[in-house]
Amino acid sequence: MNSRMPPDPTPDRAFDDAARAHYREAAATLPPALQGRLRDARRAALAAPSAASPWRLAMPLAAMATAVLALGVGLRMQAPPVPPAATGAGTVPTHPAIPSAAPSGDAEASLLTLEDDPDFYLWLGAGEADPMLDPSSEDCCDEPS
Amino acid sequence: MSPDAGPEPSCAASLPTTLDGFLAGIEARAFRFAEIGLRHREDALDAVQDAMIRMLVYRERPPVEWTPLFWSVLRSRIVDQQRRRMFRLRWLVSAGEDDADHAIAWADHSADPVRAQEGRAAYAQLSSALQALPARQREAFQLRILEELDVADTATAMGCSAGAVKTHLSRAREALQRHLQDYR
Repeated sequence: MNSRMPPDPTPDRAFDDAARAHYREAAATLPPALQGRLRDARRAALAAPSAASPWRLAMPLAAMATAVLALGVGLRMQAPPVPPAATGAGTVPTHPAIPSAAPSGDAEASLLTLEDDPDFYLWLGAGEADPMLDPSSEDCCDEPS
Repeated sequence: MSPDAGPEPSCAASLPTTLDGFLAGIEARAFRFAEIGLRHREDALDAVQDAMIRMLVYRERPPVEWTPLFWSVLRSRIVDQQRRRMFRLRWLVSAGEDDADHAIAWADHSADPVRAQEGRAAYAQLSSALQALPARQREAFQLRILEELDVADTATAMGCSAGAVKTHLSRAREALQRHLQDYR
């Protein structure tokens, strides 16, 4: 064969046609049981929910919302309890004139100021503060009897 | 004809308009395609069914696009099945497997038993020669010659360039013709 001549296409064409004919024959001679399984597979596939459906995201979104809710509830339950003094509930009422047992920084400053005030000692000495220190006095208790 | 030449593109006017009709027309050939690639009947059925399910995503696409999409999806399912099989370590249990899963399923509808037997033997020979090819060459021959896809659709289905399709096809045809002298 002259090497400059293009290859003869006829053998390729005949080969391709023969291969295709056998392939088509094989596809046409599937056993009935196998054809039935393919048919069932196709029907099952077409009956399956489409992956393109907008509802395909419903389950992941619902699961995510549930997880966020559970996380929120968990964080709320693990939060440190609020000190009762901050809420005011359950505390014993104190007299406005008697300083608190745990005075704040401002209260301590005011006490120091009182100690330096000579009028404070004059007031103590005049006996006006005695009813406040006497538990039997009616004036010292605001609670109803 | 050039070495990469194949059949003329099929006529789009004859395409089915529903996905059900499309799949019904292609499912038998799809099974044979997968059977050659996987050499196992049950795995081939699984691959075809998976491909059908995944085709639902493309239901709204124009029917003319379904053919290359389907072969692309089926090809990827076959590759997945092959990888999964490696994890299953089939070679450890191959001795206990049912040989019927590897035999070519063939129904004898012909009135001429001799002719039917010849057809089955010829297909078995072709199938065996295709299985001996590298995967890309086999896919190029199956899609371009047996399924009559044009070069562009074959490239789409294989996920490669048109030039690569022509190269794979040329090598596949050369190897097959060496093995299948009687097909000429």
